[in-house]
Amino acid sequence: MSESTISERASHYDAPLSPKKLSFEFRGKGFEYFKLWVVNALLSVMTLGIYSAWATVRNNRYLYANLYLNDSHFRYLANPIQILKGRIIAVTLLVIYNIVLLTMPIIGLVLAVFLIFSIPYFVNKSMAFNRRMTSYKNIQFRFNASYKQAFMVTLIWPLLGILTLGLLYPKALKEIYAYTANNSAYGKSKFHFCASTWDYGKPALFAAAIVLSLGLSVWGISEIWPSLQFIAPIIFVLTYFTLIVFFIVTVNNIFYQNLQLQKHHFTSNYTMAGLFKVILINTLLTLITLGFYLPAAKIRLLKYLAENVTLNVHGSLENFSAATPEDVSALGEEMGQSFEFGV
Amino acid sequence: MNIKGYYLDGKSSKRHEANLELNSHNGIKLYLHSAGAQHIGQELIMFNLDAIKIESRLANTAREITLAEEQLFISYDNDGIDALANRLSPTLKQRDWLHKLESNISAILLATFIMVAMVYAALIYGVPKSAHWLADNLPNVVEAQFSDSLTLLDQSILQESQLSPAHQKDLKILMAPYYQAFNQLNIRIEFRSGFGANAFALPDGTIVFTDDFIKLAKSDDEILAVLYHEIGHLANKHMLRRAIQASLMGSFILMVTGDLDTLDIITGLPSLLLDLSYSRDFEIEADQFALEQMFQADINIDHFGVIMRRLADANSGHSEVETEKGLFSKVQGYLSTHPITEDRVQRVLDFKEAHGIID
Repeated sequence: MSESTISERASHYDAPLSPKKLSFEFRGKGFEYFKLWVVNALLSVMTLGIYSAWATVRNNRYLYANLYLNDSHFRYLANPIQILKGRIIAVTLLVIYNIVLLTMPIIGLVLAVFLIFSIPYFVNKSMAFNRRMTSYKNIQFRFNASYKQAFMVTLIWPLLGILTLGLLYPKALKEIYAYTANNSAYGKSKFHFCASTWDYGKPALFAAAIVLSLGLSVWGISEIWPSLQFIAPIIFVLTYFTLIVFFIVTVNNIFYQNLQLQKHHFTSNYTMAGLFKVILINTLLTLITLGFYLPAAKIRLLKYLAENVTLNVHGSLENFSAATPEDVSALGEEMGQSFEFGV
Repeated sequence: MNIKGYYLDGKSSKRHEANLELNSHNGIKLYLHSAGAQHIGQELIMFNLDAIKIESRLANTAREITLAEEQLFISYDNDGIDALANRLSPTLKQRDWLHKLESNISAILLATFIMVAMVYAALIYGVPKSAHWLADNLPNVVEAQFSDSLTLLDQSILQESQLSPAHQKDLKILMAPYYQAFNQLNIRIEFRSGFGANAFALPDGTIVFTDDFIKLAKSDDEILAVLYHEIGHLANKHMLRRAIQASLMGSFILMVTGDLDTLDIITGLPSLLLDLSYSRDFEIEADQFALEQMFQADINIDHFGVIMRRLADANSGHSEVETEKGLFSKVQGYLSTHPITEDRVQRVLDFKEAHGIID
């Protein structure tokens, strides 16, 4: 620990030209997390879900406290009561909504339209809550976006992506990530995200070309040798799974490689092989243990996701300053969880 | 008492090494070692006790003491901070029992066993029982909402029946006396084509027979057997119970897995298997209902087994019954919504035995 302080001090005075590479680090342990999870699950079930608010906080506190950058950890600040309030309101609204939908379809329809237009509002609130409840070196994150921005990325861009049969989907992705990053701030310093639509378009075209040629060759093979038809579903499943891994790896790499905070640039080197290995081990162990490996699986995944992100530090990380205090409620976040929307 | 850690002022991201001390008047003293400015030496900040809050312990993660005005002291010396918390007034003692529980290996083992038992009990008994109770106590208005489902099916998988109107009328006249006793279910008979040889009941009381099924049935009694099976679904509100069970199970699984936000396949697969097994229970219930009604209406209950077997054969594509014995058929039992035909035939035999019917 003292070593890093010394090197920071040195960099402060020598002002090196080459950036210092700092990797994120995740120090959570599978069994330790399993113990938290069992107690959380048991108390949640025994209190008919009331404890789940405390469980969420304890769970997140553990995960955030084990995420390190430059030997300093993150912190989760939410208060269980705050979360419980939001959760109760959201679940009550969900139940009322479903009852109205069943018994008074016309009013239900009006409510549904109203709900759709309230999604952007709640997504903004949810993002703001999650950022505000995260701190690093005792400086909180912030999120501030307009209703219109949220409206575009939650409703319009995804809709355009579907209507154009996926043609505008890369553009939609870019807009969504730009919304989450550019409206975020660490203290007073805003994040800056500078990817272009083409960054998303290129891998999308590549994937489409691979899938198309694969589909054609499988079709050709099964036409020529009908006895080989059984491979078609196997290839379909494998391709589907590979595409998901490809999507996660590509989208996350694009995100971090285009993200910066002040003069500090992020990079990431997720690979398909790396993520595939994590998912394979996690799935196998979870199946073998009938689900009990799940908490440890989450730790393994978070470790992989965290430790492949690097911050290239130009200068010092000590000059960030806190934003003015603000109050946020957990309602948006809980609405998003109950009604299953988000970006 | 002296605890080593870090100090953050809450205004900048600069971290200072610091030592926290409790003085004789139970005040908190914080010594900062300003990095890069050693000649200044130590800076001292004093805090009142009512301005500090010690966070609860969580495994061996860094422990925070929040100080007045967003200031923060962080230390890895969890035991030292526990001792400090004990020295201070008991009201400052946080939820320490949680940490004790989480770090006690036998408590964890016990909790794991209780969890397994509770999940098992909830999914096998709790969910079906509460769904049953809810379905019986829900206002009828909920079921009336399903009245459009036949229209929906007509637009998707069903076509108009090819049976002549006279034939349809004959069949309706045949069935009418047998469901008179179930007036409150609003039973209405419909004929459609498509969907193979099949019959199904919709929650609003509509019972649909497909043309292929009518062709497959060799006698009126066989049609009546299936009619009673479908009335069994309606009388026991199976559709509604299944829908309620699905949502109850969803919330329960969510409660247990909590914040693990798992892949859908991990929670989805067991849910699917359970749903299949629940719906198999419903089939058994409907079978039982049909046998009882046939017995009361004085219909030979052998027809039930015969038509069920012929239906299963027709829909699986086998011309001759060739049920694999052993593991495979067991697995099939878990994976199918309907009971294995063998079990159905056995139920007919059991029913006969119970009611003293002799061939």
